[in-house]
Amino acid sequence: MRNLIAQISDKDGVRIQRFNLDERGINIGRSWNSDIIIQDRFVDAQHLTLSLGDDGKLLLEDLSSTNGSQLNGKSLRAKQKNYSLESEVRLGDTLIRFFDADASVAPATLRSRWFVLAERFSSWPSLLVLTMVAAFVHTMVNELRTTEPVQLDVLLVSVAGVLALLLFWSLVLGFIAKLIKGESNARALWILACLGIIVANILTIAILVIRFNLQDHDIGQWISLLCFGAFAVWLLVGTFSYISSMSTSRKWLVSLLVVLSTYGLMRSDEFLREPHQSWRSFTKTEAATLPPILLVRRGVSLDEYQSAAEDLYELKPE
Amino acid sequence: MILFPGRIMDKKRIIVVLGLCFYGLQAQAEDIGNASAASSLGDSNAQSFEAYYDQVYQIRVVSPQAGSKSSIGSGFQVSSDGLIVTNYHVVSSFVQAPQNHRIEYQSHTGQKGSLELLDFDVIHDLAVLRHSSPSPSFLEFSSDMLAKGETVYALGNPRDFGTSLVKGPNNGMVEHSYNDQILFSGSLNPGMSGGPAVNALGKVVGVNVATAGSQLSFLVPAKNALNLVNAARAIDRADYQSEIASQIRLWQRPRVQQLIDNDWAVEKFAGNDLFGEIRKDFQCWGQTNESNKERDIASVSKSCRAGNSVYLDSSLSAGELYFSFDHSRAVTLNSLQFTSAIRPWMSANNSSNYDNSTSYRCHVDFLEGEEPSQKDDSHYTRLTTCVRGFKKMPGLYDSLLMLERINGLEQFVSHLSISAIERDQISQLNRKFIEESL
Repeated sequence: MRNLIAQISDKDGVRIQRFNLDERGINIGRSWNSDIIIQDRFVDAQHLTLSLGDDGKLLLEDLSSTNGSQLNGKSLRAKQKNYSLESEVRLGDTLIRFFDADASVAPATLRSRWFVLAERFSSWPSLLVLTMVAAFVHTMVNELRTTEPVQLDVLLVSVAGVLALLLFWSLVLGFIAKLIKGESNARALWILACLGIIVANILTIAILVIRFNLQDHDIGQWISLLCFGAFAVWLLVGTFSYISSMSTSRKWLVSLLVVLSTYGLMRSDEFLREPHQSWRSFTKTEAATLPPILLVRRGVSLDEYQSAAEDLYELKPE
Repeated sequence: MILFPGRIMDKKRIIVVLGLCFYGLQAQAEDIGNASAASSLGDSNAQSFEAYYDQVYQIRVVSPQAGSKSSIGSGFQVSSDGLIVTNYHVVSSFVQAPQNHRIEYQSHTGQKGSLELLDFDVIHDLAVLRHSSPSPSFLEFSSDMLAKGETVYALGNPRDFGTSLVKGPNNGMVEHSYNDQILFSGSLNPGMSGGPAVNALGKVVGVNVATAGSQLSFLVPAKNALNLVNAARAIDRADYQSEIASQIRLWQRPRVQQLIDNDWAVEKFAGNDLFGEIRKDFQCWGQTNESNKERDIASVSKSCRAGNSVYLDSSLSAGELYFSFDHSRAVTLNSLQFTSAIRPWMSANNSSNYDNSTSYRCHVDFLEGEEPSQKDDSHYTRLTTCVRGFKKMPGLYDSLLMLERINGLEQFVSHLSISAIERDQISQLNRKFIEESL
């Protein structure tokens, strides 16, 4: 006697049934007397039998059914066949696979931190609050940096823009996720985008304050590059978690490559320029200018300034 | 202040200064009879003018590769051994690239020949050339003072149409100029550069050099040309750049030192005691956007510029001195928006390119207030200074300075741009400018 599991997939989903199999075998069909009942209009009342052979092998037999049965895609019509565990049997629109109940199951899959993150906002009120915070932060930061006076219609357009972006992002990536991974995760993608908008805006302001206090164009550019680069990698890793089944290390590697190559492409024109092409008649200094309240750096005296500026005359050979 | 046809130099001032050296038209020299240059000119004596047409040569810089002239101007013989005077800017392309150019003349009779460059003066825009087959007659320099209102006759070949004579009064020396320049009220045109301007006795009183439009023309005084001729030098091709550099140094040092040493007369700007026309060669212009009712920022500005600069090449000039003040106040903006509108970049006031200048290097820092112990959140002062060097003239630099004082919703910017100066003078002038501005 063997203790087996039947995994039955039909239009209603997947159901699991455990049963004992001995020499008498079991009936599979639409009849209420069947050992495994299949509710499928293309299946006969007595459709299949599964029995235990003398040598302990499993035997599958089609009982001359109206529409026949298939084992791993091959027709089973009125023949007894050896069945090896986990093979796929098709009858009508239903699929059945048998497993040994004593076989060990695969270890539990580690739950991704990204899904834990998404679940924190699983309730509708929290999702709504998160969306509102994202739209508010984005609009505020935008308004603070524009040089136009604040106007209500501009604010509304900004909020609408955020919502449109979130919708577009979640739907398009959700669709891709459905294709690649089989689950859309649109809600998780929406949450990730909201968090991304908040982080990006806070990062923008923080970098602006740091660069304003540093007043060094080159170092400032590196700070922006590293911070926004790290942010982009983080966002991509999150996105890949929701739309693909890549391993953690692969997600990071692919994200890093995508960010680096995008940056390389964006700046390629500059990198390939000859020295005489990048010559300019204007100066290049830190553009960040903020109100006095945000200045932390202490000023220097004119003497200190002038002695520090002396090295400007050491002209680099070009 | 020399530019070639069609380029606007300073829109604010609306005056367009044209160079008289002319590019691009084909030669059409006319055959005018030979005559002695000794007789005197007079309004009633048309016959005697003819003698002076003979004295004007067309000077052409030819680029052998193109097989054609690349620029033209005028010139005149000043000695029996064939010395010819013209403008530096007529032959500047030869000076900047002697290996790619050749200088030729064409006389009014159509006779052509080559010329050898002996000496030049980039400050006064003069050059001396040697004629291979000198003419027996030549023009003499006048030893008399030129009286205001005296009639002057300028000769040259405008736009290659043929030697022309332009008559007009001398109006004395140009105001707002560090170098002496004669203001001549006659219409000089491109191509007449380097031609002679003679008095009624037929003696040279000046050399045609530039125009500012209708009847506003400039002559280099004869004494500058005479000095260059009398120096009797012959500069080697290899020394052209070092010669230009030393001429600029010699001219700039006293010109800038005077600004450093002199007291700057106080002029009011936006309610503050500042300065403006700090020497006679500086001219200031002011403007405000008060008439704009929809302005977000109310701004008042003033810019001052010294009248002289040195033209070295079509892509290079040096010696500009310029400063400006700008006071702005937020009308509708908050303090973050107001400061976001500030773009602290500067650009050079003199033209240059990769071959002639390095890129700007800048130093930026905040200056401490009068009482450094007190941390004050209401204002700050940011100072930006930038320097670029001349590649072919080591030791000379262009410098830019910007001093910004942000105080609540107000900003005051003073900007100084100086060109072709040595580093010790840049530091001194910058410092004086900062101290006078604060």
